[in-house]
Amino acid sequence: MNDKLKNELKELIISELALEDVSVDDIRDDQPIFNEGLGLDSIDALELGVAIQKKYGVKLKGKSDEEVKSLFSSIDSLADFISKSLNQATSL
Amino acid sequence: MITLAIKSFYLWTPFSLIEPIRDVYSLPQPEKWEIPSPDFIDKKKQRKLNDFSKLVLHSAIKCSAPENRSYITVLSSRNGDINNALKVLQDIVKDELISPQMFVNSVLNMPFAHYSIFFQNNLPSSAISTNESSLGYGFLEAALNLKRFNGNDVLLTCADLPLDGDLESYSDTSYLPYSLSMIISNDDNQNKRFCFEYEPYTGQKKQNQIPDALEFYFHFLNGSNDTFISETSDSRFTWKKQSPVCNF
Repeated sequence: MNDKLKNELKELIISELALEDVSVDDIRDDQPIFNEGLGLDSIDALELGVAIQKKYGVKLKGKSDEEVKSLFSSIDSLADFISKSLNQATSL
Repeated sequence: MITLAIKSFYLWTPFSLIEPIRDVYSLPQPEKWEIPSPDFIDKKKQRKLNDFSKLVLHSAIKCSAPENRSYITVLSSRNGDINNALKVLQDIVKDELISPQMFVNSVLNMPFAHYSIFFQNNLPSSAISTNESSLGYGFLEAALNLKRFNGNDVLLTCADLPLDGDLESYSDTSYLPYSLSMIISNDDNQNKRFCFEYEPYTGQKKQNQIPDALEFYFHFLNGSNDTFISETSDSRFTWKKQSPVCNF
């Protein structure tokens, strides 16, 4: 489940943020997505948040700014959060 | 009356510019044309640009010298990126999530905001949109900025894209795609100077067949006419070459 989700997320990042020269294989699961990683910025984070909400119905939120930042830190953390949110929604 | 100089200019349109002026009106819009890419901007950064910004930056960069990208910038556009702005508004009305990048790009001064970021240009920037009077008011804004910030040249770009989507039915030949950039200065080279005048106007306005900026380019800037007059519903702008051998 998580591997499929991680691949979907990578494809979503590439298509929504128009990363023409990047392929799914170029993005490591534990690699930082922003700043030194893929070089994405704060507008990209907002764009990605909207794209994830549209695709999965999951709003990326946390108790603090730091918590939200940590969600965006890598594909691993994004996939974990989305996966848990989807499981919670199913179990309700 | 104000006296200014045009140091350099660059026009992009998808039309062949070797056609004589009398044929410009009958030139069909090419079925397939592509928005040009701006030179000197990293591909990774270009992904942030929408079509309108690419168009504006393409001619602005071509017009300015690589060794000097520091200019007061003025963008003058009849509609700006109205196609994109309408999509954002439609999403708001439908209570749908708005793309942050589309929202950012719907702001009229974004093309030169990108320019300022990419080329570390710290000089003032403004953007105006005054429908069919946009060319004249663009020059007026350029002239005011030259006076206000003496010592710096102005990079003026007039650009528009055709209306598409829900707005397509309003489109006619006066909505052709183009981007015209000019470096306006107080330079005293007589061969580059022209007089510019603005006055309120309430007479019969001339029906433009092509955008004012293209008429200006073909007849005056790159043409043989000594004078160019733009009359719209509320204003009249006059450009007059100062020297008979004027060569912009």
